[in-house]
Amino acid sequence: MVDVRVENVTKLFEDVVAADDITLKIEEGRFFTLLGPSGCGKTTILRIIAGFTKQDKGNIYFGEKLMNDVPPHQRNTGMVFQTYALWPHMKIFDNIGFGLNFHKTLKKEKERRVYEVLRLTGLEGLERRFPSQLSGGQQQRVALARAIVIEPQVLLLDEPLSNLDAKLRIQMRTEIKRIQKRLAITTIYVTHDQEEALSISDEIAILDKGAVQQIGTPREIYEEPHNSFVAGFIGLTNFLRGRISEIDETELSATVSTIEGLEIKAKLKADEDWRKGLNVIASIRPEAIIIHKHGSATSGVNRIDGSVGVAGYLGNRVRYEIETIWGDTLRVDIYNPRHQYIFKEGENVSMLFDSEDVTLIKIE
Amino acid sequence: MSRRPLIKFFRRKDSIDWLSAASFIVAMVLLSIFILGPILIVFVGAFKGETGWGFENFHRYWAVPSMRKGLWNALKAGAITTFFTSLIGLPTAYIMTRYRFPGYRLFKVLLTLPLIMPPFIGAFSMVVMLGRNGMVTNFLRDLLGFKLIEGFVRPSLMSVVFVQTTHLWPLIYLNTSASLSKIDPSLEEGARNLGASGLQLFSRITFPLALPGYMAGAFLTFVWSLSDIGSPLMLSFGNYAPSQAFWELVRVEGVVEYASVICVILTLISIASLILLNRFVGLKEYATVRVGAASSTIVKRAGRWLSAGICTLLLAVIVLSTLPHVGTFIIAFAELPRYGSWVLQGLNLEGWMKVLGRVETQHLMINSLLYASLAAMIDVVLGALIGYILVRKRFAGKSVLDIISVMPLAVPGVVIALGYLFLFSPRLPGTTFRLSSFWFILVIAYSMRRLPYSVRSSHAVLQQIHVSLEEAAQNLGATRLWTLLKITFPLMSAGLIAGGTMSFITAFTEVSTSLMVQPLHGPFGVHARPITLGIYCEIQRGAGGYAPAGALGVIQIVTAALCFYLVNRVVGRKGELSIGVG
Repeated sequence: MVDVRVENVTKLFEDVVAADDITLKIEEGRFFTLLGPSGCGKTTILRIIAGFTKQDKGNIYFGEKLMNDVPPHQRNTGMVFQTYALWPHMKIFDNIGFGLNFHKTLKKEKERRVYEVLRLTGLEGLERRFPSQLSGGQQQRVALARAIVIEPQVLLLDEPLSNLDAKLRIQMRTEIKRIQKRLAITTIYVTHDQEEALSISDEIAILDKGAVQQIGTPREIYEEPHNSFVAGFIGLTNFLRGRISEIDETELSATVSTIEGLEIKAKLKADEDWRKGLNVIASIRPEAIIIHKHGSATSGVNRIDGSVGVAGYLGNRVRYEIETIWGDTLRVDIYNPRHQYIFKEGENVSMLFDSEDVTLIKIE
Repeated sequence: MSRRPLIKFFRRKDSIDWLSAASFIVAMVLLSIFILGPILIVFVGAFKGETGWGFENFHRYWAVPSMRKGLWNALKAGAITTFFTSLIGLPTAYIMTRYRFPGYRLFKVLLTLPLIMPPFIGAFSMVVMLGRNGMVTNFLRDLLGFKLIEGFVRPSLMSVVFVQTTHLWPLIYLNTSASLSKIDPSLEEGARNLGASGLQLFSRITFPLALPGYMAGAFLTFVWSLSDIGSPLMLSFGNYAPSQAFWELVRVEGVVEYASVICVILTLISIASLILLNRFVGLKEYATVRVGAASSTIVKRAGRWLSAGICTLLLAVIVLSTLPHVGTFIIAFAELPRYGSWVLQGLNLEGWMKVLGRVETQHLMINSLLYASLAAMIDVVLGALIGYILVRKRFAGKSVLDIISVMPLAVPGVVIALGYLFLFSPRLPGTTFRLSSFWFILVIAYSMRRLPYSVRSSHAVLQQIHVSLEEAAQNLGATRLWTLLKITFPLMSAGLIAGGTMSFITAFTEVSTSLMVQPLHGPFGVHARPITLGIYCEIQRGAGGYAPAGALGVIQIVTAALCFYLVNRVVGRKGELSIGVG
């Protein structure tokens, strides 16, 4: 097991920047996720780490070893491909055992290793079949088994679950996490599915347009987004633009005057530098807002009035789209609606939220 | 070229390694010598006159009325044959891709049979069947009072067209079906949904979508017709450009320059038509060897009456176009009828005795098996290599390799044959033998003429093999070479086998080079002849040689059919094999 460092890596395809001066440090044994929309460059970085794509600039280190000129087959990484890439002309046993042919120490105990991994991934009894005779979930396990059987320094997973149906996807991601924890193997995982990333990762790097937007634990990413892209990409949120009009040093809070003429109070993060007059975006998650019948709310702080545009019943929650008087739409999630009144379209309501649930994002 | 620019040349785009660079250079050198070289030397021969470079030879050629006539005839035959083959091939393709009916599988096999026509003897047996004194002609006259004036097959242009049509229409059928079965059903359903049906649906949607395949087939037919030596020779139809080229070459007072001029003109015509075609379809479509995904098109089960109609139609087509095969078997096994009669005079195995009893005719079979196998092997290896570079690597100069590797399809066979004869005319040092008289030159010529098939087939198969299958192997520690040997080539095997078999079959029955690049005058003399040359020599001996020629033809038919059958058994499970032959 090693740590992996990506230092100032840049890669251009023709004129498109796939990776723009990217620096990452993946600690030993950690589950690290590259998350971003399609075309953000996450797969390119993974392929650069695996050695299939050569970066134009920058360095890749495994531990202290510089990997730039090491060909893919000598990097000792185990990669799980999006398409699984199982060889259709080989049986499961030979698919999984393939990599052991190139590792002298493992060659002797090939059989034992293969059976061990078969057991670990729950594939016992399938070793004499061909890939085409397995279900999608089983093929996925074989791809994983084939990658970990060589005891790689780094495990690379390229959207491994995107070809599975929703239920299986959740089951397999728990499985992958279990196996990763058990082997304590440094893992880099690529996905565009934020829920997957949040649930499985120790650490997440959010990428957009080839650049790192934020690196942090799932909680940090969701609760303290550094910029509007991260806030908007992870989960759903409501944005209000404005300027800090007042700062309360003792309470460590700020008042934001929005363009629409609202006053919004927000708690401030202590370690950051906030000034009066700063342009900011206030981000408020839909689940942090509650709604009242218009007129019944007493508080004037952090209150926005509007009328219900759409009330979408989703079983575990109701997703409201509330139209404000200035013409914006804000989203509100009310959970466990079983015993609650569900507002009708056109009803006038007031939205209330706590100042602790308002995240301020600076605009450069 | 110095070292530095070379490195730069390959490094320009990513992922070219030295293994591929080496294969690229080897492939380019081989193709330059054995494909470009022969073509260029023919051009040189045509433009180099007694007084220097210029059009002198062309003027002289043009001054001979029979030559002008021959060229005109070849062009006319090409166009008319393409028309008639389309008339048969298109409906057949539509029926075979869209309908299922009793006997479908059997028909599918039978419909490819006309392509395996043994050279010379096939055309010759058409004379025996439908000529002035042909069996069928006499039969119709005696039984139905129906008189084919002077026979249907006689020394005329239309007879040449007739023989070519019966032989070549499967080219249209196979290539069009390949395109038809690839059409996404939703495209037609969409049109139907919007109210299109019947002929309108076919002419507005289906046919345009199948056009690439049809064009490919039509082009192959046209080029084949332009380089047909055998049929005009056997029908004693003299004024036909390709056979004139052959004649000028072997005739004692022949003008070799005329042969070059003819070849240059034919090449230019075929390249011009290719450029014209290229506006509709890419070069790549011209040879399709498809192995893999079964058709997903809408297939209808034909009702009783429709089935009956379809079967009758197809049977008629098959009966007509397998006449040469039937004729060949008759010539090989039976005593031909007396003059004016149609009744066979009984079994006659004399031809077989002669063929099997003489050492030099025994050698014919062994030679051709050997030559064709070697050529097929060269094609498989070179085709896999070139296909791999073309699909998997990106670098400057790739398109040049691509174009040269399909060139033999666009250039009439007679041109390549003449080129080989010229290019390898120098004598081997220390001997009196010309290089071209050694049999391995014939093997190389065979393999180069059929290279496009194996390149195209490995190209097609490789495109269906996801790159990640190779990357996964490298990721797990396999070197490039190991990956190639253990992953890529095994996955390509179905396509390689299909392409290789095609090379084998067509080399086994090849005409132009077999006839012109004669190992006859080499160190092994008569013992190095390929089977095609053997058939030609037998027929040249007159009546006594017909039966042995027939026997040799039967050997060709059976061998080729056996190969088709075996390949379908081997790769058939994974899909079907459909081939355009040039």
